[in-house]
Amino acid sequence: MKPAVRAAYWLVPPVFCLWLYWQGLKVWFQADDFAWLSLARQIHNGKHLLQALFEPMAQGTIRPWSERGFFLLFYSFFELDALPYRVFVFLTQFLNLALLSHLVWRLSRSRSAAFVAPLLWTANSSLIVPMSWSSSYNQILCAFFLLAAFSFFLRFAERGQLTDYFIQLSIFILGFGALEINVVYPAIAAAYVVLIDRRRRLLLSLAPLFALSVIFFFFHHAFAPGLASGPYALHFDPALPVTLLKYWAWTFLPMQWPDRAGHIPLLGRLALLAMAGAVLVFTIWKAKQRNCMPLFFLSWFLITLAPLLPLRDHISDYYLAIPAMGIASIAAIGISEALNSSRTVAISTLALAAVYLWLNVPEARSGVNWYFERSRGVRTLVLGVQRARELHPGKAILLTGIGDALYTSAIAHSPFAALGIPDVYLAPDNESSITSHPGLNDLSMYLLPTDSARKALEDEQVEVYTPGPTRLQNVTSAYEKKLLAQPPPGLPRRVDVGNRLESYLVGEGWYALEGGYRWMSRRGTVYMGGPRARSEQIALTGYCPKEQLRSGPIHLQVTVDGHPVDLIRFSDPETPFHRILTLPPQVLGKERIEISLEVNRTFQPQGDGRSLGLAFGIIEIH
Amino acid sequence: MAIRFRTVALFIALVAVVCLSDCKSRNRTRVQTDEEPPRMAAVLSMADPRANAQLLSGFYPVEQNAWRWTASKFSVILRTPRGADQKGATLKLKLSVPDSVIQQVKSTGVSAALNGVDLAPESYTQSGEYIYTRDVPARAFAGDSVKIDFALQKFMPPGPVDARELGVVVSMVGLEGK
Repeated sequence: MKPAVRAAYWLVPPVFCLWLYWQGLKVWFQADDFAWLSLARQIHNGKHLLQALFEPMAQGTIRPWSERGFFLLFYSFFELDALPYRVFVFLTQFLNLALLSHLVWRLSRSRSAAFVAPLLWTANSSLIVPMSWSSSYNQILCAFFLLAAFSFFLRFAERGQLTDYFIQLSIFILGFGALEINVVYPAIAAAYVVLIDRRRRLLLSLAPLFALSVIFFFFHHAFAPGLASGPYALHFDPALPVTLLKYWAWTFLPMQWPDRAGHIPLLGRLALLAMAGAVLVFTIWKAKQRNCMPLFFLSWFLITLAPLLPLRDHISDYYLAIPAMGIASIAAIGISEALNSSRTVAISTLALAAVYLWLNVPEARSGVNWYFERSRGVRTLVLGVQRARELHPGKAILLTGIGDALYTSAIAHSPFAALGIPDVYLAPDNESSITSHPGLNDLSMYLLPTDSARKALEDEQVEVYTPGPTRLQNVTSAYEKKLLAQPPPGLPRRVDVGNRLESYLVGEGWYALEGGYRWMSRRGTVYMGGPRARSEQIALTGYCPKEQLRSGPIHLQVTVDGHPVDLIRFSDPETPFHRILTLPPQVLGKERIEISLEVNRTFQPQGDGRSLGLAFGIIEIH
Repeated sequence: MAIRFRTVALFIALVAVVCLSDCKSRNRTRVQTDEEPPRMAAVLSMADPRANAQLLSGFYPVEQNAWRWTASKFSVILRTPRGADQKGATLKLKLSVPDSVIQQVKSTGVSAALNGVDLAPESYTQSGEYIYTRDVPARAFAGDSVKIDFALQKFMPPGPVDARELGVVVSMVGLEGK
């Protein structure tokens, strides 16, 4: 190749990727990102670092390189500047494009196929999420490990040098830190040997890799057991082929296609049939000619998708990011061969490719733009609150006008606690504008009760902000007028003993606040609104540490307005504990009730002069 | 192979550029908020620069970002706490009587007046920190804000060391609703 052609050959795919996902570079943090960003605040020594990197977290996952390590490293240098994180994701993807091109060339010896494969993969709408959301970097990094390991395996198959084999092995082992799907790599390599290379010795060389995958599977299962219920539960049932067909369709026709304005359903179905049919027919036709290379890439699709098929209730198009490169490679080889075939075949193949791009490219651009726009609101909110805290030290921040979008992409993931900004609450009026979402934190965790908000405003302990078009706007005066014009709501029926804005509901017997909870001495009292229905119960949340139980079990007597409710026994440490108790009928409908909590014994921690009973957080009637 | 080395070199160079752009990075993580015009507060901390507008007379510049000397008479205007025109409010003046004052004047005292309502004085014969607290009847509150005039019984007149008239050191003044 001439230097200019060679440069274009390598540069066009990343430039196309940059053009398509440009907004993805500017996307800010959102949703799960805040959980990873918070890790840096939890690390104070080497043990904490190891825990942060390797302890199973969300949905039982252990992904030290692609999630925890990635966020920890970049946060330590760049904190809340998202651009470097995004640049790194793009750079990794550029490497993936080069590796895929290299892989297709090695297998097909076709420069045109090697050029087209990364372009088709880039255009696939399954890359929208990985190219827009830093928390899904795991897909990009896992693709890198799979492609890199397989490239060295191909070198080993060609040259027989053990160095290549061991580099492959090392990359494979490291790949487990990116995404669990890495476990299928030996099956990909085996598919290559069985379908293309066919050397038994080469197949045997994969035995240690299979053994490692089995070990990883059991190790992972032991430390991060699968969930029995919820969206991440595995289902091995007749839904498996249905899920596979859904993913197969999304590989060609974007999941978002039915939402595109003016779309014609029949056109989508016809395009899907034509594209999927062409890929299958070409694969079978080549297999009959004893060329199993397309079959190998189809295996790539199936093997990398297989672990995700049992997730019946959590089907996401971005799970196709790695499998889709198999189909893109088949299509690229098909296009390459069609260009050397009759004019009719060439034109019809190029027409199919054009349809694929017409369907996917607009979705990719609008998808990444959606993430960008959503993250702009999150950025305005989170950095705005950070600025508000600087302007009003010592005051709590109350947020009003938070809609569903900001709640699900930011608030419900506790961004302020994660970034070390305490005392940020949702104003009570948000309750009506936010719908609760299963799987997200309960809205009540963030809401300040109306009565507490009024008290905080009267005492000038709070500043109220609402998200504006480009900035957070201070609306304290207007909000105060609006809230105080309403009739007093009565005492709240949910008291957070650990919230300083609700200190006026905390009676005698309590010590000073400590990071979201409060210790009581032998006896503590709390005031709140009474139950409104006979069926309502009182829920207590607190902490009973092991130090309290050194002299044996303790008992907590709960009394409401002088009526004994329950005697709770603690024989094991519970941090936290939750208890739900039935309320006495005498307090039904009362505007103000007194909850009395009394333990039969206190303890004195070493170096602490206080006599401690139990620590409490939220006390709620529901 | 050469092209791959170049790719890796480019990759490393780009990462280095990103790392070196740290100062710009900090600019990208700072945003501004649209703030309300300063509101009249019911409680003023002397450390808060926004308190200046409500300190009408008799206060000297803030010192150590925490407190101010007063003259023999000093006045503030405070927001009327909600419901004070019906239930009254509590006036609190957090002050310190320095050694130098007590040594010179032996004893001093503070009194306050709001809208023609005089509040009982309090005397101090020792140096130290005090909170002058008085219940203010509802009749003292007629509007959204109220002017409070404080007066000291004794004070240090201007002298060769300090040309100012010095009374007490104040760190906070405020009205709390009942």
